[in-house]
Amino acid sequence: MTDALPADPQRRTLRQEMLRPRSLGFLLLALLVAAVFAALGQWQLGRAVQAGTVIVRPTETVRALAAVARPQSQQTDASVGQLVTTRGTWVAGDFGVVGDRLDRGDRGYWVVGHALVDEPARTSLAVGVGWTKDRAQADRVAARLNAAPPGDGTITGRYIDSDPAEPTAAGSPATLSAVSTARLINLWSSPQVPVYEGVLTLRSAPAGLTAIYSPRPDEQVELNFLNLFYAVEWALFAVAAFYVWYRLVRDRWEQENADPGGADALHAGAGAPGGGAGPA
Amino acid sequence: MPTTPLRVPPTRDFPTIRRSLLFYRTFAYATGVALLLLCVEIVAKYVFGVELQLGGPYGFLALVPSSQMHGFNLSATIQYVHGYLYLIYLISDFVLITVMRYPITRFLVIAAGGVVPFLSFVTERRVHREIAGYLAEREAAEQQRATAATGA
Repeated sequence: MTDALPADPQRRTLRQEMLRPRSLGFLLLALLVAAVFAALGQWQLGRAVQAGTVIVRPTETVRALAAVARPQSQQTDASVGQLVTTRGTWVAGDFGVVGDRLDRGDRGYWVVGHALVDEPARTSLAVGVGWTKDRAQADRVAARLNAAPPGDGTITGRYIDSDPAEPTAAGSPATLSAVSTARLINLWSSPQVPVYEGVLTLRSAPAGLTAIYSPRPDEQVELNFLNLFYAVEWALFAVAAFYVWYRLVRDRWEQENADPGGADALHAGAGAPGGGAGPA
Repeated sequence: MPTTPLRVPPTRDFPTIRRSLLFYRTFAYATGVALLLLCVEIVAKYVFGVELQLGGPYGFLALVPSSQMHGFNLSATIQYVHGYLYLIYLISDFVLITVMRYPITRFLVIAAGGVVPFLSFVTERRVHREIAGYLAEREAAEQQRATAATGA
């Protein structure tokens, strides 16, 4: 019975339907939406690369401490991890032990000292002197250094971030578990301002301790995969905008070109006998 | 306002439609719940500045300021989970309108239902009632026709 339908001159092809002003208007809208999505994708892509950008610094060249950091001011990115050298004296009685220090995966103790450096004159600097696995050994070395601190001399090592001042998690509150300049300054016998914000880890430890493992900063380029994933998602959304447009046009075209007899029979046919099986 | 299918889904597709409806229903509820959790999480984080932490130094579950997050960040997990659930919700939406031969506008309406709190539950109820009703009606008609054919 469908064959018997007369050719309708009003009937359009899908292509003609797509070229109608209304369809073209929708296409413009889809284009706009896709453009916005593409711009968002570009933005995410920019973020993904930007977050992975690395500024190469000559951290392995020993520089003067005063050239990379200033006392009484916050630690800058440019100074963190830099090998530095300075001259100064050690304060007797200010050597102490800090627990909970990981060194290549081993938990142990640092002996931490207080140096008065020459640049600028009599500026305090917290120094991680060395590491040991054994608490008693750390205490012994600290006592020895307190009794007879090393004389004047150069102090060379890596300048790193101070830990945040945190309450001691377990044990006696006097036991330190973080190398925090802000906390150490309160424990020093003669608090001196100005103070350097960061902590220096000595390159060569005194007898009885091993040098603190203080590697060069990690400078691998990393792409931000989350942003990259979002960029891909936006591209897919832009494509989806065109698909939605295509479906809009096709749906309307199908609706208008539906075989009137057949469609009626089918849509009304839910209740009418003989209506159920439609063309797939 | 119920949407008329553009073409008529054949009877042999009914089991597929029922499965798709269940798939859609499951994820409409899951996404709806995740969206409500997300709203609470966003208010906590951006208004009160706290995030939910699992197993940190402050106990099993704790609200801690964002800067002091040491344990497992449950707040961030809610964000990821909602993102993935909504993606599956969109897929279930697309499958459903395809097997029902609905126009694409219906897809957009159902998709929008998943981003407004509580709306996905309302949308799901309406869609479910409509499709279940449609299938029952069609099946009743088939039944009637079959009875008429044997009776004649």
